[in-house]
Amino acid sequence: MDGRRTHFSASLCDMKDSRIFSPPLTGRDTVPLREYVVAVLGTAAATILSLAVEPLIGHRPLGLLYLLLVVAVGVKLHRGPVLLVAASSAVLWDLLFIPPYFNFHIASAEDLMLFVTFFAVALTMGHLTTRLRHAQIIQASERFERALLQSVSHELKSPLSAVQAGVDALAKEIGADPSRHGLFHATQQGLRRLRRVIDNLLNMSRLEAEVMHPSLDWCDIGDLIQAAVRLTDEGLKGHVVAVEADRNLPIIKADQALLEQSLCNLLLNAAANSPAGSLIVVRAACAGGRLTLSVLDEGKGIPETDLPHIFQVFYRGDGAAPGGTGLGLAIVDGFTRAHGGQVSAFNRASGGAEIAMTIPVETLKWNPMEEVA
Amino acid sequence: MNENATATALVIDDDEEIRKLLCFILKQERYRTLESDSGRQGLTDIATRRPDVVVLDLGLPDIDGMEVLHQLRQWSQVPVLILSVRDGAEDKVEALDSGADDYVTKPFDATELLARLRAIQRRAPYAAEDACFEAGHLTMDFSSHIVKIRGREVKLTATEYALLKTLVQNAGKIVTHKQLLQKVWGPNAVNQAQYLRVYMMHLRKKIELSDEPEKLLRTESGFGYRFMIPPKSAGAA
Repeated sequence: MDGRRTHFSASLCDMKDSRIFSPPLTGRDTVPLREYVVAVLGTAAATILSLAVEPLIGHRPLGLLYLLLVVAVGVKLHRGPVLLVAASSAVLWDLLFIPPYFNFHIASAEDLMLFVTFFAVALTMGHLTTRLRHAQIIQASERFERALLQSVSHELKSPLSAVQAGVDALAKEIGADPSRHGLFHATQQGLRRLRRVIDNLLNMSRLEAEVMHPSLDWCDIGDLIQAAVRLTDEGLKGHVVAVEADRNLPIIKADQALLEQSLCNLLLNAAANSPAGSLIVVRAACAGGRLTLSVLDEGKGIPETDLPHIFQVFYRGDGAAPGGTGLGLAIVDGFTRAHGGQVSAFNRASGGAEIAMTIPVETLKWNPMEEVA
Repeated sequence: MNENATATALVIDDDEEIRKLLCFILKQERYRTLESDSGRQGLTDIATRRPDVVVLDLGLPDIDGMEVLHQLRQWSQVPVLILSVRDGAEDKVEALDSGADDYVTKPFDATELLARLRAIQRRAPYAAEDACFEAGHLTMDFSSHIVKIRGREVKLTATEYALLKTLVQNAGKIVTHKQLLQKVWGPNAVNQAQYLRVYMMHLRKKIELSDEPEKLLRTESGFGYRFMIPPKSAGAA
């Protein structure tokens, strides 16, 4: 079997496709007939106005009047009606106002240039308004996805907080009885896992909804690694973690929280796939504007058939350690991509797996002046 | 925990279960507890019942917790700990820069929450100007500006010293990037995050020992730093 996809993945995909809660605006909704009527009436009104004022101001400024109309409808209407206004205005202006009248021929070079410019500007306007509208739709749907995620996150985390707080409170009550202590420890472990799964699910949804934008700020790589190791401490019990990093690494511009989360996932993955007591190495290198963070373990490595798939959502290789969700590495992949980087995985010659994230970063190497206190 | 014997904590959260459990945990630590289930009620309770410390949820039904914080800070300096499911760095930065004293995300660890509450209740700076501060392997003499690691003096630059002093005086509490930049480099430097990172990196190399698993300076990703008080010396200074 080439990896299993759980039922869960199917139901999550359904949810995403149907988008039951999506706002009514979409990119390809049909243009109401009303908009075409407005376009035609608008063009007619502008033409009547032009006929009335032409004896006073001449035919050339009328082009500007028509352009004004294109801009006005561009703000309110869809692409189709806007283009209709642009084209019909051009035709009417040429036929009715540019000599010789009632004929597509344009006599003077000046008029010809005006006409061509008008047509180009009108078409560009139509195009720009459509783009603007599309951007607005995307923004609205991003806002919506964000709100939905926030409320789902609240609904999942609130009851979990209550359970966690209850267990913590009870822990004090049960005191030092060793048998109950084991029970308490197992409960805590379970809760911690549940918490991680919920975090991973929410992060995956954020990635799929494309509402994740890294907020870049200066950070210290050593610091980032240290924080990730501390955060995964419980999950790494029984493993030895060694950090191999140059002491003179520059500070980099990245989203520290996202990279930390990715590194945590890589560490937990390494711990789950290698024997207790073995060594996990975190390696950091920065050269040529690219930061590489890799995690190496001493497990039995990744089967060759699984290697190309391990970063897919819900992919669980046949040899995968029990208890995983198939989300951890997919999130690492997503977060790394969000930074414009890429992940890679391979088996080490000495045994075990190595998974690396490589991201392009802005670096700053700067030794503060040694002013002694 | 004698200092808590008379402390009153107010829990503002619309979730009744959380409120009950929090109060239970706080009572175990000998706090007296008060509860409010909405932002407006919370503001009234702070004004009339004068708690010593406030645990504030952000997602409240009537007014957002952030708004409660803004209003509150116009007339009260009571220590406030935000307890919320919102885990984005921008939420944390906004709350801390608006006057919250600490930020814990739900689901939370009770021991950690209590430690943070104790830290923010300590109103005065941790060490007075003339005092000597000791935590773990670090000794800091504020009068002679001498910093020692395991008894050996380390040379710090003036900026590194100022950074360390700010963090030490707020030991156990979070200090945001903005607060640190403002305090050490002045109000014009609040957007110069790179200064802070570089100096923190250098400071770390000087005062943290590689064989010590718990580091003295903890990074709160994306928003600040915290000087960690090693457990055994917590009450010593």
